[in-house]
Amino acid sequence: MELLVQWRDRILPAIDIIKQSAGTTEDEFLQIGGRLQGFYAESREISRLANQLVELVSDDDYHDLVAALRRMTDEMGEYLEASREQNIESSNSLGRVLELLETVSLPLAAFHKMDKTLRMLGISTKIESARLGDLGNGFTTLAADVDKLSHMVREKTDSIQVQRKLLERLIEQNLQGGKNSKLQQDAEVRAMLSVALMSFEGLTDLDKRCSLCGELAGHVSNEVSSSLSEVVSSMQIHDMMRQQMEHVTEALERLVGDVDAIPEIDSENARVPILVSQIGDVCELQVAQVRNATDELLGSVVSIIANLRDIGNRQSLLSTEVMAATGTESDSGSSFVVDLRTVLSSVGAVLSKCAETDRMFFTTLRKVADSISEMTSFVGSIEEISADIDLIALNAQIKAAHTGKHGVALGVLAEAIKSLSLEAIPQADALLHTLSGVNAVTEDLFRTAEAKLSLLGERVVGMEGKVEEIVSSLERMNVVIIRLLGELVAGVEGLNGEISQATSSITVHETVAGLTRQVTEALEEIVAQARARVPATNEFHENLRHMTAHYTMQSERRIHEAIARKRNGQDEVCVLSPLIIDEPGCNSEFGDNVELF
Amino acid sequence: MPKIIMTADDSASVRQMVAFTLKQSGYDVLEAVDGKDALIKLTTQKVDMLITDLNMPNLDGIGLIKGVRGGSLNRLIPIVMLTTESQDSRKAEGKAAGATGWIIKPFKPEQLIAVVKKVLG
Repeated sequence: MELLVQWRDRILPAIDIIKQSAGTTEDEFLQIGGRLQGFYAESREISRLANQLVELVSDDDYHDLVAALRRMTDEMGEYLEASREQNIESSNSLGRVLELLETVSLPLAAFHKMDKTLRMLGISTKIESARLGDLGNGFTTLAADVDKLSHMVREKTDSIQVQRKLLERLIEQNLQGGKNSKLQQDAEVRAMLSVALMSFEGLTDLDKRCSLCGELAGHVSNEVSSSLSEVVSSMQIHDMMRQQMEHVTEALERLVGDVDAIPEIDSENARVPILVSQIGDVCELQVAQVRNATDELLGSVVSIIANLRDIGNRQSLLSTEVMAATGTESDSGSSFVVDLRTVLSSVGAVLSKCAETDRMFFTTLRKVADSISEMTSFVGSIEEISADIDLIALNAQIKAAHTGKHGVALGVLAEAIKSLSLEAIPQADALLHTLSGVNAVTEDLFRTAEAKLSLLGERVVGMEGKVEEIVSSLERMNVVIIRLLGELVAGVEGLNGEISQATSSITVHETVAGLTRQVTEALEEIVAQARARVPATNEFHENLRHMTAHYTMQSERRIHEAIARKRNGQDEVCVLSPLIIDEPGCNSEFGDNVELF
Repeated sequence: MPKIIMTADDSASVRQMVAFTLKQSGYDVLEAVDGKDALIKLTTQKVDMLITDLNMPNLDGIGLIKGVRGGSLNRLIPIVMLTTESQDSRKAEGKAAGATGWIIKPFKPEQLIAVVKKVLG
């Protein structure tokens, strides 16, 4: 009887502990549940931002931009081709001008020869006029005129010669320099275009990556919903555990009542051995129920923590994938747009350089045309010289005639000057013809180049405008991307921080495990002592039939049944198996635990 | 106008999870701590659906269903039991009292929403 009292005195604090464990867990579960709405809202916001980012680089504006970039590349290639053709054409024309300038040598050489002859005739005239003394006075003026004429011929032909040499040098330098710089610029632009093309390929990849990211965002959203669903399910285990513990409490309180019902002095009461056996049975059963309830609670809390952390981890993964897909490693202002902008700006700069070279080439052509025009103007002076020679020759002939037989020699000189004037006319015509030809070619070259270069120039300006437009669009896109990314990263960090803080403060499972361990240890000790006095019988099922009416959960019935089977020497089944979802015996479209009437 | 659903359960955490699930799907939720509390509120508040626990203090789920069906304001609303109880005899009792359906705890949010949509048409 004393032992019964001792057991009762151990069962009573166990009941208090069970009540305490069931009562204290509610607040902690409510706290977790209270934060669930926040996690859900933040998670949805992260998914929305991720989708917005993905859509931003996948929508029509983005595709239009990529198409514009492709057209731009084609246009740049066409410009380069046209520029190269124009360059070849201009170079060929300049080469032709060089050849024509070479043909100027022949008439110039004839004028040099004429100059020498004039000088000789001048000297001879001076000698002859000296020999004639007073008779030759008029020829002194003639000699001076011849000298003057010789000087003029030399001066004009030298000028043409110098101009020609300068032009040749200018053209040769321009041809060589233009060729080199064109080749270099072509290479630069082609290299830039190649980089740009690679970037455009990257943009197409980006589109694909973003599509995959969109799918990932969908998956993550589903997984987060699934995790939240698991959390909601696990949160209800607390209520089930509470009910199970209430039934344990009821069973133990009934036991205490049974002990209290036996008078203390009636040690020989026939009910004592029956009660000892019953205490053993009830305590053994309650140990199983408490363990099951504790295990279920522990499992649910572990599941809640794991699923909440999964939500954070999945959103982190999504954030990382979106950053990688959009070519952004962080929210520091960098994105694929920046690289693309650099490439486009470089291409634009090289194109401007091309246009500048074309303009310089055009300036050279202008100089060539002006120089040729100037040279041609000298031909007029030479024609005047021919006329002067003719006049001098006539004057000489007249003077020689006046001098009579003494002026015969001077008459010969006058004849020579006359023949020189006749010779000068075709030479001047030849020079004029050659220079006019050169002038015509250069004027034509200049006009053609002016028209084409003007078109090319306009094209470059147009392309520069388009590059600027595209870059501006990209920069606007970049600003939005960086802003969304910043919000995304902040959202993920905030969610993870809150989940980490929430999950690290969950201690309910440890508290409950500690408390229920005290209960099961006390009850197991009572079971051992009771069995030592009255061995277990197979009357368990019958003795505890009254308890089954109090069960509300299938799991409790299963535990009861398992202990009963054990008592009857049968296999113990399903005592420790997961009992999250009981066997409802229905199978509706909504699940095994749902039945609509 | 969002539809109003009442959840009656003596467990605050279960009410919290039911409310969380329903609010996510755009429903307004009214809470009652037991059958008696629910019945009092339902005499003045029109709701579109009732989700109730079976075992509650003061008035249990069966009593609540009978009270609602016997009342006037909400007597035709769908009533779904949400309980740990799975015995066919209890289900039959609920059905006889006027329950529309029976969900055994723990429920999954998607199940609850599917049932709500079904019974609300």
